[in-house]
Amino acid sequence: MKTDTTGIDSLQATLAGEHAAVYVFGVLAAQTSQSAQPKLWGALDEAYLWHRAARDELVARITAAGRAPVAASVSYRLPNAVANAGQVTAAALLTEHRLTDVYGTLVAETAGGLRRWAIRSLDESAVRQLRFRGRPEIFPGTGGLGSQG
Amino acid sequence: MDSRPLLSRRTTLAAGLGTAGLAAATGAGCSARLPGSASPAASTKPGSEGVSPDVQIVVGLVGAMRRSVTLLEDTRAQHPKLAAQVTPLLAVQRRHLAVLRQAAPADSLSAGRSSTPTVPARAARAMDQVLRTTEALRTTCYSSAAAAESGTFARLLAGMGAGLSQRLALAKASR
Repeated sequence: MKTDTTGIDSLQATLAGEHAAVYVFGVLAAQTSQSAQPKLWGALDEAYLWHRAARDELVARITAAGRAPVAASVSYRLPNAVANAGQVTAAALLTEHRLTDVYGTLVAETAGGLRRWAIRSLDESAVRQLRFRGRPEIFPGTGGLGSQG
Repeated sequence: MDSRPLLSRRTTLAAGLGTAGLAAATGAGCSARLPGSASPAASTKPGSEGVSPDVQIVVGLVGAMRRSVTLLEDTRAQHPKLAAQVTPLLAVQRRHLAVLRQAAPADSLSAGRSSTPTVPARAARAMDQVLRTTEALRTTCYSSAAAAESGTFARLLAGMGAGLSQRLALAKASR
């Protein structure tokens, strides 16, 4: 696999974010009843699968560049309590919002094919926020550059 | 990470130098920056020598956004029933345009209305055209982000595209 050799540290930072996202969405989905909350569960499951695929892509890119991918932590702190569907949704939104910003950083710190991948990832993450009741923003993924629309 | 000026005030950009103008437009205190032109005396007309590639991106995007905004305004005027769907798309594009215009060279902002396609008489077709035009603008934002020399500018453009994606997703879901 041809990998941009620049931005490896940025890839590692993004991978660290994805490790956390995979953990969080896995926990959130496990906390949600597929029968009682099918729409929420479906959104969480899709988010989990997407972030897991992104994590694997990052691991492959970093490995192809000759570096050891940063390891996941044993566990991660959830953004908030997840005692009901509303709290689960809030935690999912916060996590997804953070990853949108992470990909924005990756866009800024890369070039070429890697930047194009980061742009696509930013786009998908921003749209996925809407599934967790996120409000549209003027400049998603820019670290608060714009305000909510 | 790139720490040079991203978007300059119009006059300083025309002079080939850059200071933060984006903060004034967004009110967010952002100091993202663009590489300046090669020469303070360089023409700001698109394609002229001495104009940085990122400045050319700004000029091109301003033109595309103006055309899209004009189309959405015309559509809303001719089909008031579409206002609820068109207004959110229009609002985000106007915000993006306002930010980019601050960095565009003065001689690239021609006076007068941008030429736009005719708004279809049927509301459904008119809305289809609005969505297609916005999708095309999003594609332009993303390709511009990929091509931008300044990383911070690239992030801003990608954010613009993502903002359009969010609005498009909501608009399509409401049809």
